[in-house]
Amino acid sequence: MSVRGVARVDLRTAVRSRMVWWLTGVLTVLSVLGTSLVALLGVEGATAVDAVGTLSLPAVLLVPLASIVVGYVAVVGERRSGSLKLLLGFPVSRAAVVAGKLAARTATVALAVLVAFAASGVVAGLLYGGVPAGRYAAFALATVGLGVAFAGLAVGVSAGVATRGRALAFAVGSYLLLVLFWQPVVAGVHYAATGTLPGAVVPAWYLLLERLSPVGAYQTLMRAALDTGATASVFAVRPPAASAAPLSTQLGGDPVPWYLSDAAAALVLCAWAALPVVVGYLRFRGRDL
Amino acid sequence: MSAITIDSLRKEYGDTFAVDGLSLSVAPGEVFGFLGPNGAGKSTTIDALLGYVRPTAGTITVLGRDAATESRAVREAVGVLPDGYALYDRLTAREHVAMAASFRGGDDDPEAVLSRVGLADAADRRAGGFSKGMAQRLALGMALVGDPDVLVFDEPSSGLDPTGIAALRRIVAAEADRGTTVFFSSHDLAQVEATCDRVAIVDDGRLVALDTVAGLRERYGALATLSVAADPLPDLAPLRALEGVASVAVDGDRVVCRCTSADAKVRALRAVFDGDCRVRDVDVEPASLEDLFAASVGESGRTDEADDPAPAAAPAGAGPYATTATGEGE
Repeated sequence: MSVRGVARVDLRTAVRSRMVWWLTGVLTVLSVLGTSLVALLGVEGATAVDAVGTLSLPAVLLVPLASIVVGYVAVVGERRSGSLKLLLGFPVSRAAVVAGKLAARTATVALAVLVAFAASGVVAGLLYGGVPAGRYAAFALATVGLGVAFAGLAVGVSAGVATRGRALAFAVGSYLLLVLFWQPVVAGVHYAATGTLPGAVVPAWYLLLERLSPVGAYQTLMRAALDTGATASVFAVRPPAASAAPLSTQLGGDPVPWYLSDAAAALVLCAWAALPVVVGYLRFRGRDL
Repeated sequence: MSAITIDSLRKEYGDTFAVDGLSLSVAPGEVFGFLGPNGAGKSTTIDALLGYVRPTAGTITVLGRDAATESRAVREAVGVLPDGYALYDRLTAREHVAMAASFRGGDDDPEAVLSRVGLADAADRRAGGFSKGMAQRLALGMALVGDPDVLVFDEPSSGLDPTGIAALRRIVAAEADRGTTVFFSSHDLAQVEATCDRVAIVDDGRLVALDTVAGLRERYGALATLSVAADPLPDLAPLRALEGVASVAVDGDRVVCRCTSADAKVRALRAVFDGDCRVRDVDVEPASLEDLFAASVGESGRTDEADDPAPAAAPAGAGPYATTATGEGE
């Protein structure tokens, strides 16, 4: 009841936030541009799937950023401004505040992603004569999952810290680590464990580590959705062909363990959406405003 | 059962404390003034009552519910006007009241609430453009939504213009008539005198006086500051020796005596005249809140820098709390 109340207030203010409209607009424009790129460059033999696949790079870079921007002040901003005192003057629990904020901010991000994907879907349909709707929908859903994972992370950070500055530092730090530097970090772990950099064949735990980041999990789901090996990554360590190969090949013929399944990747996204919020709430619960 | 019971409340921040062993009890239907200088611990006490902060020790119960462990239940019963709050800039006044109604499960008509606090004309304006006074009116209106049994206001008159203060008094009186318990903090003595049944005076986190307004006035009513412009200034030593003269100080060309009885004022004035000075002007100011605090503290037997035996060294006319009360974060 009060969770819904908090979410309703938060969504109403989000709808009137110029920032949210800008974010949705930028996301949409860049997605449409990304989708059109293949046609604009006149790539020979490009399929509709290839075309929409080019969406994954802006998605990987921008959707987490949008989520962080939308989420990192969710709780701490109200705590610093004092509107939290107004809200918590009502019979509303702190858990309801965090849950309501999470619901509203994930909905905001999800909506922005869906608008962007709908627009690029239409453009892709016009340019490439039809996009496989089921695959495209699954791709969009995975991207929503990416946004929700980072929104959860950001709202959790927002609940768990006492100042905007700390929230921003945590959020930016998570972005750098999880979006930009995760693969080099995981490669570093590989190097520490085996003395070599990861090549074409890697141990299962290495792939698991890669997929424990929301971006890694998202790329897994995206590949499954579009049935393609291609992934967009930043600072990739392994040769692109190696990470595009089927899993059993990457594992050197070993059986593929359950934790490298697509369902496991979806679970990772869910965990990112939920766990930071739980930790943030536990820190927020007993604190002085 | 009392409406609000505060028992041995203590709140520490790091190695300082904001509240230190505060106990008091407010009866149902009572209008209770919580008075003290800035930094006395008023807001911290109210924050603990509302669950915004956790007490270090002690308890607060509201209508039998514990404020720390059953905060939500407490806030079901309490209408709140907090200190240091902010409105939602992007929501209109009407939406704020509707939000309060949805959280409290009330069916209040936003229109009626807003006209009660004099904001009917601004119902559809966004709160982002509100002045401090308008914001305070809106927050006051939101606190009334759902007819709570207890109203807790932290410095409700801050930011209000005289019309707003009059409206606030009317509202408090009307709520009191309906049997609502009203607990509010203030550093404005006149405000408290006009509206309260009983008053607690706190300073430095401790209760220094608890009485009816009439009782307080009886105890401290004779307190006054006598200020005499004289040329040349009279000898201060004989003035200080007078019975009923608490302190003597020099402020420019004036000598300022804090007196604790009506007789003392007369004695002090006579002493100045007897001192062969030309008296150009005489002012008598009734007791300020600072004087009241000082007198209360004196009675409670506190002995620290506030009871400095050399008041001439202090800025004239300033109560001892004028310097010690500022700058303390609440």
